[in-house]
Amino acid sequence: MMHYVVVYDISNDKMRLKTARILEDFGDRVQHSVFECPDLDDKMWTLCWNRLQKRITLEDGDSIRAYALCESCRARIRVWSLDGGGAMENPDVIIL
Amino acid sequence: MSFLYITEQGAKLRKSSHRLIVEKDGEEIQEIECFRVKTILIFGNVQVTTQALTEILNQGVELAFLSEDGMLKGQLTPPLPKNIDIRIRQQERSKDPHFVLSQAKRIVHVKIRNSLELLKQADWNDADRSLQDSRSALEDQLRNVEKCDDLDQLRGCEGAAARAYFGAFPVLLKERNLFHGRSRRPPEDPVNAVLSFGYVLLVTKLQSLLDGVGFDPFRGFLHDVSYGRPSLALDLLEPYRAPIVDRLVVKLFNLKRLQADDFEEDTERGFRLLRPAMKRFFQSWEEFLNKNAVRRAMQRQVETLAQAIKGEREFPEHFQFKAD
Repeated sequence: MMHYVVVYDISNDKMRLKTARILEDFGDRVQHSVFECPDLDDKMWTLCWNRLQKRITLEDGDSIRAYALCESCRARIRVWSLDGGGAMENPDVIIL
Repeated sequence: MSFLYITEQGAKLRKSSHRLIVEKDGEEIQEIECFRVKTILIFGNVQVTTQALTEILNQGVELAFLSEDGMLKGQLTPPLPKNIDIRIRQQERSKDPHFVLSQAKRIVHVKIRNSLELLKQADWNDADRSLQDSRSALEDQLRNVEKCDDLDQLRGCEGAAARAYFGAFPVLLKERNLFHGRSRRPPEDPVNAVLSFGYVLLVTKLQSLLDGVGFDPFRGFLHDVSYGRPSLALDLLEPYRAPIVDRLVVKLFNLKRLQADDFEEDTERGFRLLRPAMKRFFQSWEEFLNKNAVRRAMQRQVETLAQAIKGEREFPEHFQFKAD
């Protein structure tokens, strides 16, 4: 299981939106074109990456980059924002 | 992997792409990727959209519907390929009275042992030494179990042991008048209401595990086959009653994390846990299950039951409790 940071630079509006939609199913948006997808095992990560490749068409200059972070690197993530805006922790127990 | 308890009446569970969303009055109160959810427990009037059900079934998430007072209404099972061989073997073995009796005896044995262990924790409150009688009675039944020749005799032993155990139960509680003997349907006091709740939560999980491995949860050894009763799940529940459910419930009442005014009383349905306390209970429940590795024990119990059914071992690995 790894923590993935996925960043993208996509010029076409529709494609950019589609990219965000796909990544929403795996993690949280932390900046305009940056998602953090915590605790993805190989199976889920492969699913995510394959889905992107299948459904997104890139143009010249576009890219999607994914950085895999292990637990200790993840622990060293630093966030500075006014509203604490980092990826939400996924609680084990959710009681509503 | 997350466990989702939805108690908010009038809430709606829907999906958006592959995420599950819980809404109330049009406002989103929770969003989570479906693949991160292991089990969803729904209490009372919570809507679930068909699309959400489809997503839940596709992803193999467990979903159970319970009433607000903790009675299981039903569970959702995806049509995964089941192990037919296990079911056939189960059917064959269940026609062998020796096998059935020996499995049932083992279950009752472990149950009584665990009950005895739990009663050890009540010594501090036993000024009138009433526990000693109950302990002797339980030890007698433990010996009797070995001598039983048939299920009727065995159930007799189990019944006598249960009476002795619940007779001693009040000694575990700081406030003894919260418990007036075991009562269910309806529960006649707060402690009974929560005990039943705990038992149902565990049976639900056991039923799901049994079904997943290919067993028929309705065909048990100790418990009689009876309409709508998951006898095998109830059989497997026995070892957990005292050390898991009873022990936690006693702890919560003794620490005053649950109190009399956390309950409402209804002439027909008896005592019922009010929502704020119910949510607190689930939090403590999950912590307790984790701390005691209960889900892992259940998984192991069901796996080893499969081995026993196939003749690869004598008995499944039942949860054995040691008081510290």
